[in-house]
Amino acid sequence: MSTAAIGGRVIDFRLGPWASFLVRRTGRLLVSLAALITAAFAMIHFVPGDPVRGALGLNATPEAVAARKEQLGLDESLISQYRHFLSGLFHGDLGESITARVPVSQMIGDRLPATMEIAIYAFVLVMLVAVPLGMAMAVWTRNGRRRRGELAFASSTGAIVAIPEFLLAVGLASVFGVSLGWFPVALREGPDSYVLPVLALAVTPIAALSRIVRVEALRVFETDYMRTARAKRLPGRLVYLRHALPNLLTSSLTLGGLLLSGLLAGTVLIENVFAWPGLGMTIVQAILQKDYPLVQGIVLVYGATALTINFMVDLAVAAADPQSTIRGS
Amino acid sequence: MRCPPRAAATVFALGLLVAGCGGAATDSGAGGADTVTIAIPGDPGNMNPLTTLTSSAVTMNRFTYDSLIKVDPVDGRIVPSVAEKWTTDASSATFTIRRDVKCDNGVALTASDIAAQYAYIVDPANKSPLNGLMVPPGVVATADDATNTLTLKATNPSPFLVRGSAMLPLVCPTGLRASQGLDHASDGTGPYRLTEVAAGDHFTFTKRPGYAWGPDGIGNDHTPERVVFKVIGNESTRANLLLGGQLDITPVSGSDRSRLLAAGVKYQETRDPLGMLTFNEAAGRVTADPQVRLALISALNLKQIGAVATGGKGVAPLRLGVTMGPPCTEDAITGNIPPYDRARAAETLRAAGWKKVGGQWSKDGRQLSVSLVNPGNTYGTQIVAAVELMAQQWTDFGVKVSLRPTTPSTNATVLFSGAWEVAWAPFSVTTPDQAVPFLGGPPPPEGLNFGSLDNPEYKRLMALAMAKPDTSGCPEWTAAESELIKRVDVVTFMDSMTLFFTRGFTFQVDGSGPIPTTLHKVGGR
Amino acid sequence: MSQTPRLRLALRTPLGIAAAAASTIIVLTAIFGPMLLGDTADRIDTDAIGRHSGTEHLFGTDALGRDIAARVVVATRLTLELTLFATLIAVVGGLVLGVLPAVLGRRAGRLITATVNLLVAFPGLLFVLFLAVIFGVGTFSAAFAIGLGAAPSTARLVQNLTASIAGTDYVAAARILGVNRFRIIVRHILPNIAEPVALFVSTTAAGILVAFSGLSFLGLGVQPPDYDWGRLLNEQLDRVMVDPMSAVGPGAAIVLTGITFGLIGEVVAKANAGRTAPQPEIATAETSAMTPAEESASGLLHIDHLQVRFPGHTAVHDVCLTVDEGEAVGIVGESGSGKSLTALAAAGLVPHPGRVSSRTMRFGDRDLNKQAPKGTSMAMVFQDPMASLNPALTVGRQLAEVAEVHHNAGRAAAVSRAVSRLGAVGIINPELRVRKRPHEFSGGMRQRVMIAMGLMGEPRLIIADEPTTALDVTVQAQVLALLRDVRTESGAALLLISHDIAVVSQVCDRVVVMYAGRIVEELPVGDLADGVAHPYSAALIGAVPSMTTDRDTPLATIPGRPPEPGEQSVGCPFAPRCARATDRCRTEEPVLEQIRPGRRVACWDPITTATHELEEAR
Repeated sequence: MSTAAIGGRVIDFRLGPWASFLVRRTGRLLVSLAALITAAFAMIHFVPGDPVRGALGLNATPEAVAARKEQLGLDESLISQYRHFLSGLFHGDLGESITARVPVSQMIGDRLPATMEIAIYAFVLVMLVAVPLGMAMAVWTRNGRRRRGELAFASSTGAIVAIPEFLLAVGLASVFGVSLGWFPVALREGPDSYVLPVLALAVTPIAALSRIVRVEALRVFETDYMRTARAKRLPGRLVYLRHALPNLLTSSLTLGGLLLSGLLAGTVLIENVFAWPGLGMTIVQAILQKDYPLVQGIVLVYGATALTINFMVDLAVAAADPQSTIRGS
Repeated sequence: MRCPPRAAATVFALGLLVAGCGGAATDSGAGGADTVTIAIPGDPGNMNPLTTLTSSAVTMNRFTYDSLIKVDPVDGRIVPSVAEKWTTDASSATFTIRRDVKCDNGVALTASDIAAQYAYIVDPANKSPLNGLMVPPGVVATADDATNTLTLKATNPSPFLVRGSAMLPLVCPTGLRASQGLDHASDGTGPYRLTEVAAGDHFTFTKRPGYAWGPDGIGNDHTPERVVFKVIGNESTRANLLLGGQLDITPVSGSDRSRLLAAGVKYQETRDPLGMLTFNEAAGRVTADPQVRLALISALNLKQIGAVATGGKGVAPLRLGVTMGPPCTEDAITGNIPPYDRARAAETLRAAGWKKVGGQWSKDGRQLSVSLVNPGNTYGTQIVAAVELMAQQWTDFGVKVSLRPTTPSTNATVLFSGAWEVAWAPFSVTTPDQAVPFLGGPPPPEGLNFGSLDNPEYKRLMALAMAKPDTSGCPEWTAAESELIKRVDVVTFMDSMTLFFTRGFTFQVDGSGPIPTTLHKVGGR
Repeated sequence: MSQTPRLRLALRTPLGIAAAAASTIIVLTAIFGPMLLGDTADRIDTDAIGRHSGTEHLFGTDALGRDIAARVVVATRLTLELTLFATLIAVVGGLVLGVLPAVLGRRAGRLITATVNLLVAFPGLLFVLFLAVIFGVGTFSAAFAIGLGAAPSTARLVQNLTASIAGTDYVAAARILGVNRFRIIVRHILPNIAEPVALFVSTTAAGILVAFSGLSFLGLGVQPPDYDWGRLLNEQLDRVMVDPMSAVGPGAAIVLTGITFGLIGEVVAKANAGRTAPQPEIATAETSAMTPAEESASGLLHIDHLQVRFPGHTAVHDVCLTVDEGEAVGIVGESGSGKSLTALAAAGLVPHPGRVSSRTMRFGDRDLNKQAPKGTSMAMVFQDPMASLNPALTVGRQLAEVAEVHHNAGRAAAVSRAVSRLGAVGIINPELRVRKRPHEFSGGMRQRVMIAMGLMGEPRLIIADEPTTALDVTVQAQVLALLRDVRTESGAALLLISHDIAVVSQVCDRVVVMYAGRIVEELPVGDLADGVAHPYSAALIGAVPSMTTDRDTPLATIPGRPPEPGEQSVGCPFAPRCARATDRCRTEEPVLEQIRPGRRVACWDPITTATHELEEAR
């Protein structure tokens, strides 16, 4: 809340609650990103191992290893490495992968789209299925009706959540790919090759989210405003879709955001099983090989993605439920 | 690309149509009538032959870059390729280069072009990772373009100068001058040209016309028009794709091979050292005592451990670290490894002053305790089981064992730190002289002899062998390696077999994968 | 109700039974498995390496020829210990990080929120790897790392849930009143977020179970020779296509335990939410002696022998109530007297698990036992105007939809009617205000909105359930005045429910006094001044200070307490608190009897200030 006098005129910088919320949130996003980069830099340097030796192999001479370290600037102090990293970042240069000897930005650029594609399709699928499903189950089992249905739903979703991702992926591949031959076993070739990876990625979050949506929906159904809606003798469709759904979105979106961040991580094994040319395996390899520049680059991209998702979720929640968010923050 | 109309695909119509079908239509096989699709397990990252060392890149670059000579994977014979003739002694070699070897731009590759590449690699200013690995350190290359001969002179004894030159991919002068361009395109004299790079996904190679300087002067008329390498990390997935016809050739080393064998799929084998133990003989380590090493090895049922490590599919090694196309083929190992005999092991320890108290060996109040560095999960879960079995056999014998699993990045760090007694650390070389730094060189940090091995007999025989060019030194090499095994400095007890399964093609494999000029489509599938 | 009986009730559902049975099996396996099968599981048999599943080995053998099935059983203990330990860390960490921002100062809270957001955004693998490195590779550190790795996402959920609770008025009020922060967390915040968090935790526990196998995949999980299900599963991973059963063994163990966690989560959530399990139906023979309806089936709303039952108790007993066209009837009584339920029953809005029965329930020409009231003919105004308006929708939308649904009005027409109705209830600038959401209105304005909502149609009856209770005194008066005006203008009848007899006397024509689910007295408002007949009514009036009350005399209060729901009473339910009670009162329940036209009372010994009138009537 400040005013400034410029050229004799008083300009009012006072922002509306929305605008100031946006400014605050964007600022926080940037600070978070900076903290993220620093944390990634610090952490990867704590992980033991020698990436250069790992990349060059056991056979490489100590001189060759030293030469390569010098070339990468790894012989400098951590502080000056950090400075170089930051200044490179500032110029849009993420450095070069130690193991692959390819610019990190190029590696990420090549592989990220494939990962993002399945993550986003899976996310859309999750939201399109889980929210209606959870809601439908809530309506169906509301007021303690159909306890057997409730049990069936709780156990089947519980089971799905507990199925290790790669077992699910392997199961899908072997049933629908190998045995039935409906979809390609693996590889990213044509639209039908997306079906199994996306399904493998989406099924678990669908189960997890639909459970939470159901419980949240049941909570919403008991609220006074739902009683009001019923008192207005609105048709069930309106009562549930217009009155209950928007109030479910706060928690669904929050979880959905968490899920999307999780989906990116979940791609690792899925990509492995379906030979999907994404970033998933690259991350694991980069961390195991302690490929600093690559790890930092990936952390940056993932972190920025996750933070942006959080940011958007907060915006969406604020739009759906402005009272608590804007006033509360 | 396969684009059959499938109803279920419309489920994800959300924009997937963009991904669409842009590839060429195919009729049979994984990639078309005259295309061979080969799986590689790892992403090469970078295809530049001057900077990359990843095995995936080496496998693929053989399709685009030739070498001076080739080595027959079966009998280890040196066969001509870019060089039609050669002569060698223990520290120099002279190659006569074929006049008809052409680069992509139609210009012939000359002896001086090759000499320039050697000069580039050994120049410290270029910081080439190939220096010392693909090229002996300090080698000097001179060329005579009139006779088109190339002479390599090494400062140290280099008995395998000719054979070792098979490792170096020859880059054309245009590529050497602008080496950045080699990341995504090829500039060599090989039978194929790299025409498409989809990083992390696939690499396409197209046949070059007029190629006639393959091994023994073989051309590429019979080989497929296109070769597509696909990056597929998961072995089960590779097996599925092969069975489903989306792949033509794939390596499989684990359990999935039984499915493919049951389906009657043909295969070629490659061999890698896997079960290899090195003892730490640095002063102060309990394993510096040869009696202790002997006892430790005698207490192990290595045959059983090796069978667990390879799922019963391994073979007994004949040489230390050299597997495919070895110059020396005599057996240096079998018969030299102390046999599994726990009574003898106990006896040995007692003779060395150890006592067994409460089921535990100790001497001067110190327990017999070893730290076992092992690859952890790096080579799969079978090794984990084998390491567990090994630890159990030692524990049963009365040795305290602590396991130290490593990752690819920590492996070397841990080994070079010296804080361990036994290391399960296989290494692979193509000629016996390459193993010398590990087995008889200076210990870290100056050198690579991470076990601080100091076997005078090995060093003496090795020096003799180094003075004799190529296979003429084999008797000395064999004797030298035998000494290491006998003294229990290193023990190699199991090689693993990787099977290259194929449907519809014939080919030969060596340690780097399928040999380009041997690829041949068989009629009908 | 306290936690334990609720849990017991929740355990009695099929869900609860399944959860209890499954967790018993798992715990027993964890306790006795290693004792019974420990040796089998560790027996190395190199002649039987990699055997396929079959009769000899249910899930086959592993790379050392050990029986996988036995190893799965034995691994139960370690797996369970690790999972519970990691989950505990995740939950405690998540709750602390999640709740703190709501109770700490703004600055500290914001810092924590930002940290959590950061941790959530951080790739879990790197985080876990980093922790594994700090704590060293090993069983305990793996569990610690996974637990800490799962804490941020738990924290984020808790934070979002907490933010909405912490924003509520009662927490704000508690804070202003200086209730200490710890108490706010324990009393107000935790119970309100318990249900979704319990569910999330059960899901997290299942996820953690799976995460251990992911860590094993990287060689950072449980280290040999120890083994958990994750390691067993990972060992069989490369055989999954060759002999699926070998991987199915540990996989199934993980899945079944995951299901169990899920079921436990549901049960705990249920117990916390207090959504009780159904109880055996109360014997229907309980129906008390019914007196036939005395009044003919006239009036706008006619309810005859209404009963509202909940599991374990009857909340409304044999209530007979009639509201005539245009009449204003007030129902007064303490909380728990059944007054609101009576109104809700008339509107068909009794919450689960209440059951409504009546001999007759008629509204206009509709039998409410068969049909809902027609469209907009019955309007409702509730106690808490904030909670009763949908926070996610604009006020205009909530008003307009009534016209859209019931009068087939177009969107524009509906909105313009909403504007006019808002204007009619005294909202300034209704054209602008229709686009606002409820939180942008003050309490009194919201109640006006609720009333306007009722006026969107042509209500014949407005049911107002404690419409002024949540409002401050000046606003109360305004809203009451508005209700009066609305009634005059629309000619609608009013059923006003209040605990405050003064409010009722200001607006209504007739007063119905309820106690313990029964009507104890019914009289015209005009008669209030003359004195009431039932001692309870008298006490209620006495509890209302008026201008004439001598300020020095203490307020007459009613000693004792109303009967608890479910308390079986013999005789008059008010007898224990009644100064005039006789033996008859304690043994025989009085019947509601007409003492003169328009006046009924249920008392064996009514107050006789109006005795001569009574006599006259007889």
